[in-house]
Amino acid sequence: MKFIFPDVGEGIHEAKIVNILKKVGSSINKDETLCEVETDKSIVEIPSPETGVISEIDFKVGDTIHVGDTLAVIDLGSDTSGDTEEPTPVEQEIATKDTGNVVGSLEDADTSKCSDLDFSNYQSDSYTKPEVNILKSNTIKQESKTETTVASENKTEKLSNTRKTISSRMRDSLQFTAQVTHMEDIIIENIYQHRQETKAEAAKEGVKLTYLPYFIMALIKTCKKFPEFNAIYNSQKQELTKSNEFHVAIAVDTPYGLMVPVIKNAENYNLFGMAKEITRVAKKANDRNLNVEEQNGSTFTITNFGSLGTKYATPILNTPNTINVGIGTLDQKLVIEDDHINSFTIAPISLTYAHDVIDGGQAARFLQSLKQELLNLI
Amino acid sequence: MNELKVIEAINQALDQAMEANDNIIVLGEDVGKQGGVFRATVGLQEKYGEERVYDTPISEMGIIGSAIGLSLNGFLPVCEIQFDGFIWTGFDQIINHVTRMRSRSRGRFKCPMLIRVPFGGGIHALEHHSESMEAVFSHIPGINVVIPSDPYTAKGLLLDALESNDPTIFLEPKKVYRAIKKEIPKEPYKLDSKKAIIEREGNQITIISYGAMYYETKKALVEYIQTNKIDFELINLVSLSPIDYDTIFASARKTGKVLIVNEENPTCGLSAELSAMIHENCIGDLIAPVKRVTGFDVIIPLLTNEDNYLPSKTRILNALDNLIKA
Amino acid sequence: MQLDGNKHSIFKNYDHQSSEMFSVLDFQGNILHRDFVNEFKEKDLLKIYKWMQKIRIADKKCINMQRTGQMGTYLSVRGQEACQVGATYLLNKDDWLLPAFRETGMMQIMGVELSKIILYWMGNEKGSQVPDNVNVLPISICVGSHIPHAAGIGWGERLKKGRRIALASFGDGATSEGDFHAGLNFASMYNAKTIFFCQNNQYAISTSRKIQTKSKTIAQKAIAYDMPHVQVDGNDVLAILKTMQQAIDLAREHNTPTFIEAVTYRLEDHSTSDNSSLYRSQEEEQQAETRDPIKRIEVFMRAQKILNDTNKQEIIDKVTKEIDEQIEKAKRESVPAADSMFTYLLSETYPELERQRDLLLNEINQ
Repeated sequence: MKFIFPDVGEGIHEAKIVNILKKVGSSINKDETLCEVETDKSIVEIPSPETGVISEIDFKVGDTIHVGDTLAVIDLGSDTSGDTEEPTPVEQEIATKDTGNVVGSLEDADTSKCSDLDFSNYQSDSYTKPEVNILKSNTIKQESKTETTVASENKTEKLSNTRKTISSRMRDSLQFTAQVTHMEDIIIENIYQHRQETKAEAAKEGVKLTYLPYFIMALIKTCKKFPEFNAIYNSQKQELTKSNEFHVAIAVDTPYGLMVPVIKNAENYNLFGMAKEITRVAKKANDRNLNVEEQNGSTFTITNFGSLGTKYATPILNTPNTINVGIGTLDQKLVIEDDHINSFTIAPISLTYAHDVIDGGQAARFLQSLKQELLNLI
Repeated sequence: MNELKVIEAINQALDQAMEANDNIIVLGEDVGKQGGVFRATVGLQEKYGEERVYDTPISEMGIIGSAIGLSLNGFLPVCEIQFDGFIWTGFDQIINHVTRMRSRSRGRFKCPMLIRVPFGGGIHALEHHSESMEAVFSHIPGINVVIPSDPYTAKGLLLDALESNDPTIFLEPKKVYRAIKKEIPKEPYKLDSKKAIIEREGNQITIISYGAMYYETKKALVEYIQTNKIDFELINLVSLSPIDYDTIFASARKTGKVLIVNEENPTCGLSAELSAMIHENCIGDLIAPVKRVTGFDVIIPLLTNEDNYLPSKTRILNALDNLIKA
Repeated sequence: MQLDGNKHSIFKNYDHQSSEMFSVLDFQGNILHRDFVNEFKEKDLLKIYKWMQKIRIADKKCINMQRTGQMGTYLSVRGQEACQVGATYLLNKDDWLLPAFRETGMMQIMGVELSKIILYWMGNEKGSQVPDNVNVLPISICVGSHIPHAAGIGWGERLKKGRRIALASFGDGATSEGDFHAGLNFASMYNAKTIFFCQNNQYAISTSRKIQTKSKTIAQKAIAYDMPHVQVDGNDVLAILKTMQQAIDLAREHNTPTFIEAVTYRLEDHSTSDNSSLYRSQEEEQQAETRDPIKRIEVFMRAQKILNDTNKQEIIDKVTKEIDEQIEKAKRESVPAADSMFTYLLSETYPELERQRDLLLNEINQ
């Protein structure tokens, strides 16, 4: 194999042979030093890349060798036994070994002769600058006409039937009734306590006891005193029908959208019974199992958004009902009484009513009455 | 006969400068006895003594900081920073004092000096030995930045920079330290270190480069013109601060096409600055947008992958060809 | 360098492990080293005292100017008057001073008019443009960064066979920065005519000396650089003067740099933007007030019958008048021309810079 003079580092391209440690015909081991060369920087040992017998050495001491030149030829196949000679003793201590902290590399072969490049004899084709300008021409290839590829595409979908229905009902409600919402915080400390004490017992009977049955019962009592709040208002005919029965619509947030199942004759249920019924209809709503009967005929509506974290809202009337009672997230209220600070559980109530048939004053009085009913409920 | 490699030209320039000016002091790590890790200062300590050529302690902040003091007291220090990647500990002194001494004292105090830095990649060196951060230096007001590309420019620019009353960073592209050998005048001579050099005038395309990439660009051109006899204008930027916009704008307006080749990280780089300025000032005469050939916005890899970072002949020729055909 | 037992006794005798900090007067102003005291003549003591009062009164007025919006952020030297005077009184007028930013007094003694100093704190570069025969460098804000400059100047002076000294002044905090070590290493290595003066005022903004470094003294850091060093009582102006006398000899005559740690206390906030009550107690501050360097020298001078109420008041009146004149002078000085930011950047301008200058000038003239 040809022993090519290697890159010895730091951009060195050539070196001077100062010492050759082996003779032609002698064997040499891999990594054993063949010769020493002097570069611009120092004296470097050149080790053999292979084990074999030296069949040729192409340079002598004093010569200049370039990176890439063939320094020697080493016969790899030879049996080296018996051929070993005493290596020529190293004449002198190797001077400053180049342990520079740079491992350099070489330039390409054409620059190893260290020449510069020159264009003084170069004749180009003649050229006239065309009358084109970057601002006026199409030289800049426009990016594809599609807008930013970064954001994902916007998708357009048609409304589902359910959504269409909800949409038209909401719009009609707002369009054909004058709706106002009163908001009030109502103390329900007693209800809170009662529920805490009772819910375990209710659970035993398979009843999930929420605040809703309490509210419904109190509302029924209040509506008995304010019949126009438990009524059907026909805005087309401009007729109001007060009802003796209490059919309560409960707004339920289902995966398919807003559903409003109705509890018929809610006045007949006791607390636990009411709770059970609420659970039943809510489940049917979530299962999309409500029939038409079960979704119509309410005399007033409750919307419970408290479980969703909202305090106040402006519920839209579930026409032809004249009220929609919104119940928000329960909160604590601090009240100073006789130098004591007491804390009470309160329920934020958002009462939307049809101003067509109910005035603000009535609505305010209704709420005051509702407060009382809740206090007296337990 | 004065055929020298770049590193030898620098050595000759320093020698001639020190002979002419007793106030020049050379200081740096290993620059004295050993003559510098690249042998730039070989023989100087022997000739001018240990009180003019110093092997300093390892402290770039000490080298540059004390050079400020030496300069304030009437000397002309020539600092060698051993490798570009080591300049940062001394950079505080550069940016906070060297560049500001004149300005903050309204001319009462000044500290002219030369800071020599081996620069750029391509020698398969260790980490931190291949940096191309010239944009950082050019960005700071108050200091000049000069970069030769061959033995002739190395000697001439160095001697010119030493006559400046302002501090200068002298970036020496180490890839060409030994790669180019040229016959240069033996006697001292100066090249204007604030002016770009037009090596060849042409009408078809402006090619701007500097440092080691200037040489690489020329190699690529030699190949390209075998088959495409383009009438190119070749500019060696030389001065990175201040940038010789007069020359560049004149060329850009003449040819309408500009190719810039360097080895830096492109974002916020010197090529970005050139591109912006050329567009701002010459857009009415441009045929195509300015094209830049640079490294990438990455840390330059070690030797096994270094060649993929640096602008290769392919990268340069692709860009050149695209621009020619635009 | 073999220290002389007489001429460099303070440095020679100092051993950080066993020595107390060097004082000439005790905390109350009573004499500890009578032979040292006797070296000071009445004329000099009055001059020294006058400087200390001038520095104190000027400092107060500067604080007031900041508080009344006439000046930008200002850093007080109150409590450090002994350091200010002691470090510079014995230097020659052409020696170099490299201040950090709490050297108002030192700068005045080295030839910078108070009006210039005020201009600097007003944000006007004209304040740093000192006369050609005054070798006081501009204030150095980057902590410790000027220390290698002092090494370089002192090194260069020796090479020139000159006789000027470079004095760098800095605080306890600066001794943590790399520049401090680089500077001392170079100065020592190259036998620089440099004196490194550390005003250890116990605080780097809010960082107390105790948590700045674990070294028991700051002075001992110089051991690493084989540099003569001493810890001196920074509120005892006579002790500092005596120490400086020896340090000057070492630098000027023997090319030996020295390191002096002067232990003092920063009586004011770090700057007019600081609130020291956030990090130090009133008790501590009150205790420090009892060590006031001016009070101390007064006790001594009164005991020597050099100072009395009459001449004290005369001195105060005189310096107050000088100070007020300088303040007026500063206020009369104009702000720099708008395009001066271009003028002084480089010795040689260039086209792009000029174009930008024109942009600014056009903008202003609109």
